[in-house]
Amino acid sequence: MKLEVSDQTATIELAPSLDIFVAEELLALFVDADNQSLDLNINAQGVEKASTACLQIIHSAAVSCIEADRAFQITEASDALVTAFKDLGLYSKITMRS
Amino acid sequence: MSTNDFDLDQFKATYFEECAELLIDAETRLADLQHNPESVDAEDLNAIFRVVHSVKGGAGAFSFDQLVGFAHIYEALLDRMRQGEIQITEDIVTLLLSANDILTNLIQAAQNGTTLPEEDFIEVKNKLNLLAFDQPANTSSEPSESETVTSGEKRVQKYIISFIPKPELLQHANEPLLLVREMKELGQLTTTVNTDRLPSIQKIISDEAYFSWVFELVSDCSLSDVEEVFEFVTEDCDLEIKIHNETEAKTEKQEQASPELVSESPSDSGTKKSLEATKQQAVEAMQAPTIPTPPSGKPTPTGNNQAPQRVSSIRVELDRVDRLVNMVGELVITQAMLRQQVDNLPSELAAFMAKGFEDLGMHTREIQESVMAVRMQPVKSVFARIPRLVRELATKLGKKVELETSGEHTEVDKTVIEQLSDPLTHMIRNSLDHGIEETPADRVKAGKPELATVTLSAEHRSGRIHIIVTDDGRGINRERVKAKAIEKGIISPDENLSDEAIDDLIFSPGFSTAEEVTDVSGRGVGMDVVRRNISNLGGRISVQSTPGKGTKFIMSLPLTLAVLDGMVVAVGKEKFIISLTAIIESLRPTKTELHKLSNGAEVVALRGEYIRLVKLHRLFNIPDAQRDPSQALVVVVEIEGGKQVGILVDELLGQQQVVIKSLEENYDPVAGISAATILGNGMVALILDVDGLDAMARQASHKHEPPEQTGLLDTEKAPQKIDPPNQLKASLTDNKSALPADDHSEDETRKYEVME
Repeated sequence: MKLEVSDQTATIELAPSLDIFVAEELLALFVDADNQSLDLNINAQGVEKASTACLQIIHSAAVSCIEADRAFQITEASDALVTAFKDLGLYSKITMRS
Repeated sequence: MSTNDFDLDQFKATYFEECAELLIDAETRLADLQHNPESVDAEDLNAIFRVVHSVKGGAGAFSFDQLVGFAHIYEALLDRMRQGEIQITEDIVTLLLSANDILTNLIQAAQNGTTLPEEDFIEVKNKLNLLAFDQPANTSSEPSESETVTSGEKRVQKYIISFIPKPELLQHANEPLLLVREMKELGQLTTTVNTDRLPSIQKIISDEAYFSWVFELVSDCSLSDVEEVFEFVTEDCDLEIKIHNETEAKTEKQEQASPELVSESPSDSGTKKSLEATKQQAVEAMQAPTIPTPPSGKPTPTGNNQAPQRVSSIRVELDRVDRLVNMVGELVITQAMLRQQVDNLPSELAAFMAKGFEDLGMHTREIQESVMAVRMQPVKSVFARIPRLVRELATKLGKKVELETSGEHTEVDKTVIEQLSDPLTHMIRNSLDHGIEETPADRVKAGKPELATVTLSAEHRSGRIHIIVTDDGRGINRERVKAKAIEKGIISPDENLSDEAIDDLIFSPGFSTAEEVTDVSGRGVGMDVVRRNISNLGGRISVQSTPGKGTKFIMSLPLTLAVLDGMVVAVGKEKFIISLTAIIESLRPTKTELHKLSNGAEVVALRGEYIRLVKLHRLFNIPDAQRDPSQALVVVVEIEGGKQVGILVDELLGQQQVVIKSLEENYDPVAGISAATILGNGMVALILDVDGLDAMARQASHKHEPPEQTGLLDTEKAPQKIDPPNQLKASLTDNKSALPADDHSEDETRKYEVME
């Protein structure tokens, strides 16, 4: 996973396996984006597996963006990610486009 | 990512360790089922179910899909069985045993990073599917929502579950997503998440749990089914499970503490009110930063027992325990050192210190015993692997064999347990391959039942553990063994060996009587390795056989490899330790009680029995030692097979608990010495291997044996071979001829020979 910045928007392509072991890496990317006050565009096309740890981080990043009046969106979310959001009861809390 | 990969491996290693333990439990309980399919203990079924459930849960976390798929079906069948929907028959138990074997193989495959070919287990999988879901394997076995919710006979209930993870929940490899998905399998689930505890992205910690949830589960499952979903996270969360249509909410703890909860007939308004109240309570509970306050009207649990108290054990790395054992060992040595120094103090001071040292000694011993108890494990963990081994071997060999076990709960140090598996496996293989008759028909011909019996037992005896493998097979064919030993040059053709000595030849390196090399027992190189490995552990193995009736292998091992209660003895200026458990008595023999055999061996007559003397000063070339047995002390010890030998020492210095330091690890194996220790004065003392000493003494006397004489003389047979005048002469002469301090034992031996 890496951060690509263009026009004040950071794009992050999520790893296929969003397990707890990549949570730290994911958090670092979001903190980096937050430090630069960037909008966030998350590409979740390739996510095959998700974990609560990563979903918490994504949700926190979303809330932090929204509170700072910056844009946050998840695009092309895979079924695995959508199911995980639904399962944890988070589906309604953020905007998703699939 | 390398760090992450490492972490993942650590979690996986823990999972596989747990799987190994779980499988042992399942195997043991399945063996119980196999023996008594008619009187099944419900707890056994529940326990096996939990094993499979746990294996499945972990496998899901690591995406071992093949394992998850199989475990799911196996678990479903077990669930039906424990609900009483499927009657337990012998066939079913056989199927469960096969399923367990497959589960083991799938875990092994997952551990190796491979998968099993589907054809290896499709037959069993299909059978499981038919029983569990009334459908073959290729149709979906996942229960549909409608099936789960609308059960015609069972009562559908709504459970309100407040689940507030503690921050460390995720760090302990628990995944709420899996819990949610498991609940979805039970029925219709509505999830309400509370994100209030979630910090900003700058403050969040990646592996801490912040979300909490209230779940509404509509299902016909039981409360215990719901509780089971959370059974592995109870320590890492605050959990409340309430049944909506009962006024008195049931929590796990209350159910245990007060089973007489009152039910209220559900009315619509009452139900809604109750639901709202429950929801409110749950939300309040979730928002509370700490443990939720019990709802009003509920009896407040006494004391600080909000968290579930069900876990009574923890998993600790063996390294940590080993460090503790080592430190306790050092403590024992330091205590012995201090005690020795106190002896040198003036008598008033020494007396003053004595009480304190008595207490210190007692506490040190208690600490040591407690620490050692931590490492003690029942041999069940090793025994549990044997039924499968027997099943597989019996099938492979076309034999009908039943395994009987006893003493599985006998405890022994973990270090010994770890070393037990290989020799035991080999002994069992030998029993099945060589011990049991070729075919069931051969057994019938020999007047035995078709079904052969192999018995595996464990027991504590004389401070050691005895593992005994017995079969009711054909016994050792001594003629064949002897012929083979001559053919291989292990013995010479003119050697006249006792039955026992012939049986013992099977432990000779490279010995095998198998006409064909089989893939079961291999090339017969095993039994010598078995003996060597056991010997390295301070243990011994012997065999007893009755032709036509069967063979018994007896493996005797120390209970622990860490400490020993010993008697410190002096020989010349040397100090040795003899294990207290081996010592029977000590005595100073009179001259008339001492006799010498024609092969040079000396015996002491004790209450009508003759006991072989082992002279340490001679075996170890120790100068300045007391050479006259009537002036020295004889420590009578028990050796293998219940025989006794007398070890000649100068004096007994006292009992002492000593810390065993392995010679194999720190130096090299030494004949007659099992290990070393450090005494209070910092000096190294050697711990005697009494069996080894006996063997050395026998070899020494064997060298002096005239060629025409028969083999080594057993102590029991001694009286028939004694020539009293010669013995007396020898003893007296020995007494008269005090050798110079620097004399060598060989010289002394020569003198004995001349005298005879």
